[in-house]
Amino acid sequence: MDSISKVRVGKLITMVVTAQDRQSAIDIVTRACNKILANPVIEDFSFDIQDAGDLSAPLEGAQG
Amino acid sequence: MRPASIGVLVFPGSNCEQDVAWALSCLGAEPQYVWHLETDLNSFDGLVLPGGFSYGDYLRTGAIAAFSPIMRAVRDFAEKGKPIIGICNGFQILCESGLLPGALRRNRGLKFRCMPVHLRVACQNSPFTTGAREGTVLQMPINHFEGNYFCPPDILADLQSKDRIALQYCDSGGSVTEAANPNGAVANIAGILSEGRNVLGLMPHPERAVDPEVGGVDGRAILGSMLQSLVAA
Repeated sequence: MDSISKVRVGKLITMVVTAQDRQSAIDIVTRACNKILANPVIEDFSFDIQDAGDLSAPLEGAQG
Repeated sequence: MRPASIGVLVFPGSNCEQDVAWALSCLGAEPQYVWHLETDLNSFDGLVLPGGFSYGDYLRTGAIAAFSPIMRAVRDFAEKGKPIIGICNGFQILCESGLLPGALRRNRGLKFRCMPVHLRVACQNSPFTTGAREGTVLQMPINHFEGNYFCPPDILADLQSKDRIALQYCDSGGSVTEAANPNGAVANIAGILSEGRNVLGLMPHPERAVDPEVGGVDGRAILGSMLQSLVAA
């Protein structure tokens, strides 16, 4: 496996957010990340927001 | 004079509470287990958050316990200036709750470390080291995978300037060296004090060093100091 280097393992958390609009969803997720999902002392985070679509289906992992 | 009443908090997954209670009893205190759903700690003179794997270290070690109902009362207890010791997972919970600065990361080298270590008492005055002045070398076990204390440089400078580093990993002669650091902790930090100096968080296990039958009694310097400070108060 000489062609592989700099391997990192991170956490992927998916969730459904109910919000009035996209910006509200961003605010909610940012607050959740800062409060509990990440520890800002030792972790940073990024997220993307997609339309939930059919909620009866399992959530797919975020792409990119 | 009545014995000191010490609350030993129990979270789902805590596993050192019995050793802590036993050690406190050996030292003449009256420990009492407090389940994490309780909300009143007024009857206690001091608190200990014991080691273990609260909530299975889910999400991050100590992260979910930091939101347990009991923690509001723990915060009030700290604000009143009453003594609290967080041992190992207890230290992790105190950091995640913001009662102590910084965080505990995975050990450098990613090995679980279960071994006796030497500790240098690094602070000049604290209610947890009255029995051991600065420079004293203590020995007690560590038992952790996430004991690598980290804080940003400005916090480290603040800890250093305010005499808030309580214990550092050292060699048997008391020298704080890279080789004596079992987990990569910044500045070899094994334990720190809160701003109010009444909250101590440490990764090593003093409750496992109060009986010569199990290898040493240096843990008495820490637990015993807390009890003595309660008598003096």
